[in-house]
Amino acid sequence: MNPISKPDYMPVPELRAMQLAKLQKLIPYEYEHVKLFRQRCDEKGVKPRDLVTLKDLAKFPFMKKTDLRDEYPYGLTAAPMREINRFHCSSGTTGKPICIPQTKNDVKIWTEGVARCMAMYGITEDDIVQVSYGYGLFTGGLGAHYGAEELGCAVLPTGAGNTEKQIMLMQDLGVTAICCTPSYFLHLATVAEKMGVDFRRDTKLKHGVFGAEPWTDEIRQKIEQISGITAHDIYGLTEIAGPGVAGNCEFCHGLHVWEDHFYPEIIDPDTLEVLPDGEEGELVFTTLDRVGTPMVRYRTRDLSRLQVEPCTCGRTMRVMDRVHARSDDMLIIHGVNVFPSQIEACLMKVPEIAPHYMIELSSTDTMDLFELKVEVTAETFSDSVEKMESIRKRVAASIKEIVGLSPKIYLVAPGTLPRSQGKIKRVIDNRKK
Amino acid sequence: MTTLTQLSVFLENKVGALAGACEALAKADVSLVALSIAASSDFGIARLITDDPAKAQEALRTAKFVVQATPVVAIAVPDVPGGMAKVVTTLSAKGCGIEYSYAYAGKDAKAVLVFKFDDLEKAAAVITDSNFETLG
Repeated sequence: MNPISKPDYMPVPELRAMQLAKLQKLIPYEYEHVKLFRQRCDEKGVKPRDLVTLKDLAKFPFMKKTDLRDEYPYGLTAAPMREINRFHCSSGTTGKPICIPQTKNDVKIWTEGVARCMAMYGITEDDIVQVSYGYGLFTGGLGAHYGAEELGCAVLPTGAGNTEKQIMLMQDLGVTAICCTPSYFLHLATVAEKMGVDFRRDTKLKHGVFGAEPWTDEIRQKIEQISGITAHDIYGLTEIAGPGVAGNCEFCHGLHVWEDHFYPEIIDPDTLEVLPDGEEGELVFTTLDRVGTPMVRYRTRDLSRLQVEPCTCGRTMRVMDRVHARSDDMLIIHGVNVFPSQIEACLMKVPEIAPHYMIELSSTDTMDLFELKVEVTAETFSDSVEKMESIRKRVAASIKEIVGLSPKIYLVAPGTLPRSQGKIKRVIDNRKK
Repeated sequence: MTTLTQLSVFLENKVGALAGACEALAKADVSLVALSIAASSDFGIARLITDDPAKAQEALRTAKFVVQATPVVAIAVPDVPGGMAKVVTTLSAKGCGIEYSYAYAGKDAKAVLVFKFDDLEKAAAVITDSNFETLG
């Protein structure tokens, strides 16, 4: 076992004691240095000394993405600038981005999280790791890069884009692991096929480290089936660290959260009450070690569950369900709650279409119009209108069955829907608000 | 009997889809001999007979169209009433199913009927026996 993985197996009582000790240091520090947190605690009438057991964390106020926007750029920064070592920003769709200044040690802890995930996936210093996440303000590229280097891997920092060259380098250099978004890997696979490159025959690729967007089990199976690699799930968010907050082990029932650094809670997003392990709700994280921009009870908007059963692999870190949806990804169409991931799962049941889609919503004065564009594949394109119609009907039936809605489905030519190199946009909502 | 290579092109239901395919062929200096479009409510399939199917296929694929090559039979008949009836009746009588068909005016007062059969081999036997004139 790689020594870096040792904390994964920490005895639970020791882990809980460590979490409490870290929280009892963090909360007073945050109270002292972050005005917004102090104000909210005062409004609630809660003092740092009220944190006596782990359960007491529930007394403290939440933080949200809007707080990061409102306090941009330095309002939530607790450390002085001379200790700040790195900035990462996450783009918002509107207005200002969020900005996370981090100290050297903050980056180190994040790096450790990524390296522990990779070690758990079976990646070692013998591996050549291609990082095809975007580099820069986005945490994906540098996070994967630092983590792989920490583990002693040889890192190929291709960044996103220039796909044909990426495939060439992958072959020539004997790359064994790739880090990118699942949708970019699917794009890479399409391009490889056009180039006549077979992953199994022409590359040494064994591992894929996929994250930065919600994906389904069906996509995982599809990736493994077309490429012969093992698809690993890496979870994280810029607000808390970046990728490497959690990852799946070989049993793949969910993702182990590195809760010695990132303390998880599940809350009911409506009542904001903490839910017991085993119940699904919104994932909330507290950064136990971060000094630059600590987050106390940060609401991720990701829907998940902390599993009750200890994992077969022996790691003591709790397992969260794979995030298949974000509470703010949810669309309400004709009054029905729809997650894009449900649409994706429906599409995967129809093998004749590519796993790319676009949901387009618009509205008339009285109702929503729900349109879904799906790509046919070159292999399954048929000269017969009847056969093509049957593909469309099967997509419609699958969506009707699972989602309960009947969108207008358009078949579009392969390669016409956008592919992502960072995070993919699958929904265009032009409805009048 | 000879066959022709027909190219089927997937067309999205949007303005300019057919124009794009035609332009791709024009640029490659390929001439259209016959065209038929099968459409559903939201997409179309253009079926093309060209003077150079290989070149046409390459040009369309380069322009990112999805293309499928299908063997079809082109039968030349006298351009008079009953010309088509004779061919179709003969084939039907022998149990040959026609998936679709379209026609164009050929040379020397002849019309050309293009057929996609469900069973090409079976149809070929009937066509040869009946001495129909096929183009290829």
